Amino acid sequence: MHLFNTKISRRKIYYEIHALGDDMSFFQIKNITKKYGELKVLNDISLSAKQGEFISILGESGSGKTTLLRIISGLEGQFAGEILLKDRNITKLSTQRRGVSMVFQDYLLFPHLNAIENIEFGLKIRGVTKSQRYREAKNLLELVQMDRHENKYPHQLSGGQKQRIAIARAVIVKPLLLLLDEPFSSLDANLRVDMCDFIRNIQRQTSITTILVTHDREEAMKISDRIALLYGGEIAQFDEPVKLYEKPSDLYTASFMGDVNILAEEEGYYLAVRPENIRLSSSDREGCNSAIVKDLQYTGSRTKCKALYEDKEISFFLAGNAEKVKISSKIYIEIDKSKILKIKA
Amino acid sequence: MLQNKRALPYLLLLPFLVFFAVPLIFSLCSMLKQSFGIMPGIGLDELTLNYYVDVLDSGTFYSSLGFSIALSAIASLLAVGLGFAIAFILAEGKEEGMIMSILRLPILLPHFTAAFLIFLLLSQSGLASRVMKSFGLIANIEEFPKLIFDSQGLGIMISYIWKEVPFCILFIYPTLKLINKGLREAAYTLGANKFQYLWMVALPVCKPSIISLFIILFAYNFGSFEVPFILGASYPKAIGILAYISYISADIGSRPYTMALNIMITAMGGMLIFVYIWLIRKIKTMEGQL
Amino acid sequence: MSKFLKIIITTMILIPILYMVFWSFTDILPWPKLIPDGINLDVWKQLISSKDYIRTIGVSIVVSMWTAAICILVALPTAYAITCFDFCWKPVIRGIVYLPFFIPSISLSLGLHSAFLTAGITDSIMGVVLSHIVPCLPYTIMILEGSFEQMGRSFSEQGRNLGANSIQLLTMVYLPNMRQALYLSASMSFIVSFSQYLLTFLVGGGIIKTLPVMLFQIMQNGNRTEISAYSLGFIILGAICTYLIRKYLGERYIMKYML
Repeated sequence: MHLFNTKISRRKIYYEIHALGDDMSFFQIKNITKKYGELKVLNDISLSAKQGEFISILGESGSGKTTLLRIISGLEGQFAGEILLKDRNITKLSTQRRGVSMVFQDYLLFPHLNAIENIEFGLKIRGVTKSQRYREAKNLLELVQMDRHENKYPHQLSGGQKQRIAIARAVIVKPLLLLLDEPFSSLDANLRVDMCDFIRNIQRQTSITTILVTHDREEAMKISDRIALLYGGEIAQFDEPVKLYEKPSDLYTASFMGDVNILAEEEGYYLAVRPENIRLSSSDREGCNSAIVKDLQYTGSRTKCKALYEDKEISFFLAGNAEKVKISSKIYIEIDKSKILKIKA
Repeated sequence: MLQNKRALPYLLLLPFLVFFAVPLIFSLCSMLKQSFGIMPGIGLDELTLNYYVDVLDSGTFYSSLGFSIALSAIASLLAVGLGFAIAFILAEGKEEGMIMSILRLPILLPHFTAAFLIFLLLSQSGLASRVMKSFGLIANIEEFPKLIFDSQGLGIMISYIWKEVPFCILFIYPTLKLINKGLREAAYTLGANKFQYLWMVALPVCKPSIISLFIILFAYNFGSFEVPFILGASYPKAIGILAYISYISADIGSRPYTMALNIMITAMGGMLIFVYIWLIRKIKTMEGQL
Repeated sequence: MSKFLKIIITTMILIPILYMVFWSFTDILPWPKLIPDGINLDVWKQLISSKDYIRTIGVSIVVSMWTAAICILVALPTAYAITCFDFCWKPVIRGIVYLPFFIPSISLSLGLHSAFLTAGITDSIMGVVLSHIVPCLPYTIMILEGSFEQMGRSFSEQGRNLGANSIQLLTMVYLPNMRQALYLSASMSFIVSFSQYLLTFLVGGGIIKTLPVMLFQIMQNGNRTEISAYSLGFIILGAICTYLIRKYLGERYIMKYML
């Protein structure tokens, strides 16, 4: 528990870190709709998060995910709906008084402040004394493994380092809710993986309820407790990563979360199967079907095989380089019947 | 990007040296030479510091120097301060509209035209005094404060400010607009209010630009000749006027004295260049981050 | 707040200028009258029919055009050398370039005049043009340097891959992409030269009479109506000339012919 001394009591943000709670209503947004002129960017979005939960908002560019984040942070106004955070209705509150902090896509570190001063900024705003400010910032600097760069200015730091400072700067004010806007998109591919683990670690250690916006499905699945998939300004599905993958509510979710082979269409449902649930079979056993190989794509550990099965193109994986399988040859495949997805058309 | 050929860059710099560096350095050297009392044309050929001593001994030098420093420091400070404040408020607004074109007008006018405008407006028979009379605020022409040809140099200062505030606004505005997009939101999400954003982010980020603007304006105002010539009082004289009068005096024997005075004025400006170069570097690294 | 401020700024800037326009059509307006009895066009008539005025305009334009042209021709290789080459005197050159910004104009003018006297090139158009180059060139170089820096590495590497040498690189790769900067620097040096009083007065020795020299004379002897009309004439001419420079540069790639 930690209390800040503030000069302006109104702006005081008390916070207390609880263990991961079960209260579903710690953070809630209800029926958010946002229009730019005639264009509906967000349509009737509702979401909730437990305390300490890590939620991802996943979607393609233009799906409205960043707008949603900006609405939550209070940077975007003029929308319909409600936002509740820890028993407060923060819909009408200004950004400063929401208890929400944000890590921006392009970091937005203050160029005139060095690393530690950047981290201290939020505490300085709240009138925390210099020595205490420094102590807390120093702790966070260690947490984000940047203690060797204390006195460097933003222009002396690499992208990944700036990212860490930006996270520390957002976390130091102990926000009720932490928002991350595409935090990996400006990093190199190999750095992204590190950063992803890193953010998850920080979040576990501080147990701050976190909302991440990303367009990268794998990152979202790896890092989140639950994912809200946004499509055209609406929530396609909001659930745990496994559910999104294995029990997609519609075809968009199913195909966004991974390759999917549609086998048949009946009574308003698609019957489909993920590639990993199709196996190559050695012979014409019972339950096996024949297919014609159309294309093979070798990627090292496995080979992606595209084949024609009952007039439908399907794809699945073969182990290694699949020497025995040749293009245009006839093969037998076995589909795991228990893993067949029933998707609303 | 940096190519390394021995002769080519020097060849490219040749016109620069011929048309610019040589005349400039030659004139600085001839000023220096004359200020040390070497003017073979009128029979002076002995190196001496006497003329500097003469300048430093004269009371008018100090009164003019003090007057010019105070005048240009206050005018530049006000111009930069007002410029920043106005740019900040303008950058808060969404649309720019015509204002940027209007702000360019005073920059296009030469300083002496600006001085004349201020004269038309603020002299005792100017527009301001006529309007005040028509509202009954003053009864006769003498009641209007003497703002032009006054010994405080108010008219000169107002003229500088009128012309230089727009310059400062146009200089600072793009930077503010740039940081408004990102850094302001970052500051707000960390709990800063508008005033804290101004004080702790906008002002420090613009600080190098503000200081370099101040230096440029100060250097200009300090050595300016036209404006004090048109709007100034007979005492105290701005340092530029002092140098001018001494230069055009019929007595060629006073030339070394003029040049000693001139060298001192130049040195004042020259000192500022180092500060400026250091600042430019700082601005560039900061802007790379925005 | 922002809207309110815009209105204040606009009035602060426009009222003096409009008041000057008003004065140029006013003959006698004793204090405390606000509005004259009638419009007076005498000064404008006198201004348009004055042969002296036309000649002065001619001299002004010739001087400033020459200055702008030489400034561009000098600044272009200089900015190219400073941004795209490595050589050991670079910091010194840079320092010299910006020197005129910091030498107070009075010292610069007096110094240049006494140097030009020694060299015997005063009292001529050539002398005036050469002296104007000194205060104008730093602006030109500054603008062009910025333009070169912006185009930067990728341009020069691409050009080099295609086998261009340094001079071809300048004329064929950089120049066609610098129109905006060339316009800006040409009009900047034009304006600075066009409004140069003291330097012209001293180096021209009163023989070379440009508009600022004439205006300054009028300011010392004339009445408000005259000064207003002549000032306006001066401002309008300056605006037209920079507009023409822009048009000419923009439409006909003047630099190609100049090189």
